[in-house]
Amino acid sequence: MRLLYPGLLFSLWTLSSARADADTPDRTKISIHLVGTQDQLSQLGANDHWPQACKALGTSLKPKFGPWGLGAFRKFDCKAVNEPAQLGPNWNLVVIPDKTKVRLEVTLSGFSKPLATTQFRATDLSLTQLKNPELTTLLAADLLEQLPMLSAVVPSIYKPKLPAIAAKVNKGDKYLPAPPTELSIYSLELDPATHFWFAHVVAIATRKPEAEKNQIVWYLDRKLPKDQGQLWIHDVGGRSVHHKELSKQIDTVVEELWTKATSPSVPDRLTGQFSSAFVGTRYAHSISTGQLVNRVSLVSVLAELRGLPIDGLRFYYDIWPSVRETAALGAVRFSGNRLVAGWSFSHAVGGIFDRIDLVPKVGRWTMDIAFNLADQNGEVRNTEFKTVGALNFGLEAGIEKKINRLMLRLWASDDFGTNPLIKGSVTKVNNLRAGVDTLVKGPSLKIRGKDINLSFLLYGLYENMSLTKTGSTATEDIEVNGVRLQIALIGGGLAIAW
Amino acid sequence: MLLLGKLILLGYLASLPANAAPNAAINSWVQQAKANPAYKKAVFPRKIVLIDEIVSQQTPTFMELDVSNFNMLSFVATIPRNDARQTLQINDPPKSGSDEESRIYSALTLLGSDLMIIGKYDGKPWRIVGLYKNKPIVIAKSPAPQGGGTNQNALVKWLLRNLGYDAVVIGVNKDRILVGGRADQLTANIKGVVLRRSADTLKMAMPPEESLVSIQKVSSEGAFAEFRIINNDANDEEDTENAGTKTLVPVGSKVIFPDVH
Repeated sequence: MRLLYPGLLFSLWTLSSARADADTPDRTKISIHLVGTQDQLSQLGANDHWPQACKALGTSLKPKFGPWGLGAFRKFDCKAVNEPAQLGPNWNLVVIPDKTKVRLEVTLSGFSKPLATTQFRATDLSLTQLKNPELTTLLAADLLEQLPMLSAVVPSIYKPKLPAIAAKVNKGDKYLPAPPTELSIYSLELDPATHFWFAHVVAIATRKPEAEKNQIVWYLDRKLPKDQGQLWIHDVGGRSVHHKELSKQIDTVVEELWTKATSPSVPDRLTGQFSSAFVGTRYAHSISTGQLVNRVSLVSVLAELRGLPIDGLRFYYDIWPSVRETAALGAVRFSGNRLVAGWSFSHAVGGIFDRIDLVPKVGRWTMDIAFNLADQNGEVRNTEFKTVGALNFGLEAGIEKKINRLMLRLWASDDFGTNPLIKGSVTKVNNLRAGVDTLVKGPSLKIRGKDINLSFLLYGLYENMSLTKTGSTATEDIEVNGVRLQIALIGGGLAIAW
Repeated sequence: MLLLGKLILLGYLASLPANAAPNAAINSWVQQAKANPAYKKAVFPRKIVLIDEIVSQQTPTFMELDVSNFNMLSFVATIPRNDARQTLQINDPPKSGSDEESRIYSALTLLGSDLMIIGKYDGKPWRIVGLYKNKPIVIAKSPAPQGGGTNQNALVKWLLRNLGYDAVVIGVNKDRILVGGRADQLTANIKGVVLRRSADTLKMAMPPEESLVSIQKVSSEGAFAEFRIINNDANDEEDTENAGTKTLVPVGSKVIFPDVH
């Protein structure tokens, strides 16, 4: 049998270290290009936004600052061009916006096609979005995982005394999947003829979950050799192990950034799922007529916490300040408060409305009401309804529509409260409400690098509140055992979000 | 008593082999030979990879063998398991497809390996696979070596026995030839035969082709040895004239040591 030997001429070309001499390209450096027509660049505000966007992207590719504290490129430079990119001899990251997508491609001279690609939905705000470290970290993770190296080994992440690869959790890591459990550390060679990479593994590192808080540590099975030139890191699981997850997270973050930027200051209890937190306060006064009811007012504080894993958690605290009048049969009065927590499940829809949401709620109600009411015999009595800390369950449904700086929400809610711990006479509360909220986006302030948005709230609601006494004792006169109050209120308020 | 101790020490030192020091001349010749284009073009196994599962969900799984000393036992080197796995993971496979042929082709090509040994500890024969005209072919199929690969020396012997030769000519200088073989064979004072028409053949047919020249070992260092051509068996149609004058033994020719078979 005669065999032709495949004859691979494996003249290996070693990726140089940062100590590369003048003639050798620095393989730990990447040039970042924004490529588009003059119109595209102008529409995206490239002059204003690209320097910061590029800086955020480049930083997310750096060791220590990238995903899970890893990154392949120690240095980067930024270019914006309106011609096909004049790519350099090193690594290049090309950002290409088109009508529907912004594509990111990592190329290396000599290779006919990109070594890594990712993309996200294009909007006029794409470059602004690229300043967000959570987005750039996700994009960097998706790109780096496709490359022959996820990270370079650099002194800032290599701890020879342990020995370990260790990095702090960065702010941008928020939406990343769990860090790789095992890493390969290797030197890397490229066969320029075949464009095949050859790895020489020098150590394996295993992540210890119990490592220090806010730090990711992979312990090495041996110290790294000093004579191997630049060493590189990759997930033992291989390339692109998180690609699907990362793509999904990129879409989520882009959607959130878009909504945050375009919705009226956002934050509102209306829209739910965006930004990081929202706090608002508002005041409303009754427009109903009738004894005491015409004087009822409502002061509310609303808060919504956003960001995983508490995205959608809401708190409502409503106070009806005490109002009272002196009447012939005794003072009539009305006061109460309710503290309710809810969780918003929202879903974007098309058509007339942008979003629908459902908010299951649980909380505590306190009511103290006394009215002069006629009993079954027509005799007017001063009747008291009182409950303290009644356990409340409720469900709210809402639909939203955004129109430029205005957001409109129609909602309806039914709440039921009782106090199961009290024996004997118990006052039950059934509260059916419906209303319309409007939110107008106001000015934004930048405080310590964070956008603080101010919004104006206008709202109206109708409350149908039934209080019923049950389980009376023998001595108690309960011939008047229920009261129903119908109150319409209108009001306004202010909200801030960050 | 002290004198007796000194005598014993002297006796021990005298008993050490005279060539225990590294043979710098051979090491130097090996380096030169490896840089020679003829060495790079020659057909013989320089690098092998040991695999126990080629068709799997992800990358092939590699034999969990300690091959740390393997490269010193013969002229054949193995690709460490971690290197092989990582290399396959960071490259796009040259041939897409999850069938065995595509995977073997991709692995051999990416790793720059001449041969792949595929075997498990399951009692089935092991296969030696190489590429022929860009297609994987089974070069030999044989019961697993003694120790199932854990005995590195047995694994080397098994490989070369299945390929049908003991050593390979890796350099030629007049009547001297440099041979890569098995370290345990080359320590002996041996004679060998360079096989005719064997330079571009990975596996030799049995019985072997007729001899081109006979050779006698001069010195050795590990898995490499210098031999002297002691008689020229070639006829006129070969590129060989008489020994000591003009002998063209092609690099890559296969060598057998009849006395140690």
